[in-house]
Amino acid sequence: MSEPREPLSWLTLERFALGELSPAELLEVEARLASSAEDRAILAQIRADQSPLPPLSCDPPRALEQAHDKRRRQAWLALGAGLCAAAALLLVVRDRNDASLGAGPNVYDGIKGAEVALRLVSDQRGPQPSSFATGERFKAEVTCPPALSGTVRLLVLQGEQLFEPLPASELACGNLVPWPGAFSLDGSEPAEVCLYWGNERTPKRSARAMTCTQLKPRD
Amino acid sequence: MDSYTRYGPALLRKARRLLRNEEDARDAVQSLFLALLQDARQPSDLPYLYRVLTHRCLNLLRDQKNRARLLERETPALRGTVRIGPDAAVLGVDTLQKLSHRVDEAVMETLVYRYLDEMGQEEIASVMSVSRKTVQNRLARAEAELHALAETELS
Repeated sequence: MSEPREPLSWLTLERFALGELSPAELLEVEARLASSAEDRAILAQIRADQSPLPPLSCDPPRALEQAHDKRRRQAWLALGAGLCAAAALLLVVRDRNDASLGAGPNVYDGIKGAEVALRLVSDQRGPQPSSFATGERFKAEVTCPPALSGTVRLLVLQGEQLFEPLPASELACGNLVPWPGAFSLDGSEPAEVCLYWGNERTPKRSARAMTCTQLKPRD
Repeated sequence: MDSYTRYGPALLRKARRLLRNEEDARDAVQSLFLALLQDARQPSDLPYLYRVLTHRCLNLLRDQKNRARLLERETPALRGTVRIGPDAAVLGVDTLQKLSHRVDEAVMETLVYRYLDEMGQEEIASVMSVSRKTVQNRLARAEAELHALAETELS
């Protein structure tokens, strides 16, 4: 709690707004609010702020609250199975196209002439990094033709694992369209970050477009 | 994730005050909760999350590689109303970055709680689990360095 004549701290006001103060703290804060227009103004700001939160990727529901929930684990296994199918698809498409999965635009069957490019931007090293360090954050920027606007997924293939570090995006294609949110990588194996068009849990072989960029571990 | 929905907005406001730009603030909050998802043992009450976020933001500020980007994106209006002063008023991204190379992390953390989160000494002591005397000493150190920094820049 703050001293007399001090403003109520942001933390105290946030906890007040959340209803998390003890009865004694609550009494004190209410009395202070009654006598301080500045504090009331900050509280009003807190209550009026409706900024949306950035999406959390691979959001395992209530992971903090129920770490050992068996049913949730089963749900994750089901999601994992879907993603593994996507991994298989990645490999099929890679073989069929005999294309390098390195950085840069690729052309895929079904979208002839259309170029799709995925550019990563590191918070530490800027655009088009070739490697990653644990904790380093990346944003993704996508260049694609308007005809490909739609649901796109960002998948990471690393060793035997395939995961989805950010939620699928409803992408309005254009030049260097930023993907909402950012993600980080860890581990000692190279990672391929890929775009996948479609929102099926189990992607079909007819998936139209995919492009990847590879990052090597730096540590 | 209930704690994200519950505490995320408060943490986003805090990150904005400290980093002064929406994009990095959102990234800081998002990465904090992604890290929490990896370790379900960590507590998730707001004072604890305030501390973790403070450390993350200070690390971001201290890293020279982020300096130009943070300065370029700085939006002073995101600091919000300053209710204490006068030192609080000069604490922009540039000053915080420079100061972070002159004092240790505990002093920077104390400074953030005092001048950006506008906590009193007793509340800072409670959040950091240290004595009020320690808080006073750290604030005195921070203020001395702030003044020294200002003199250096003037000269």
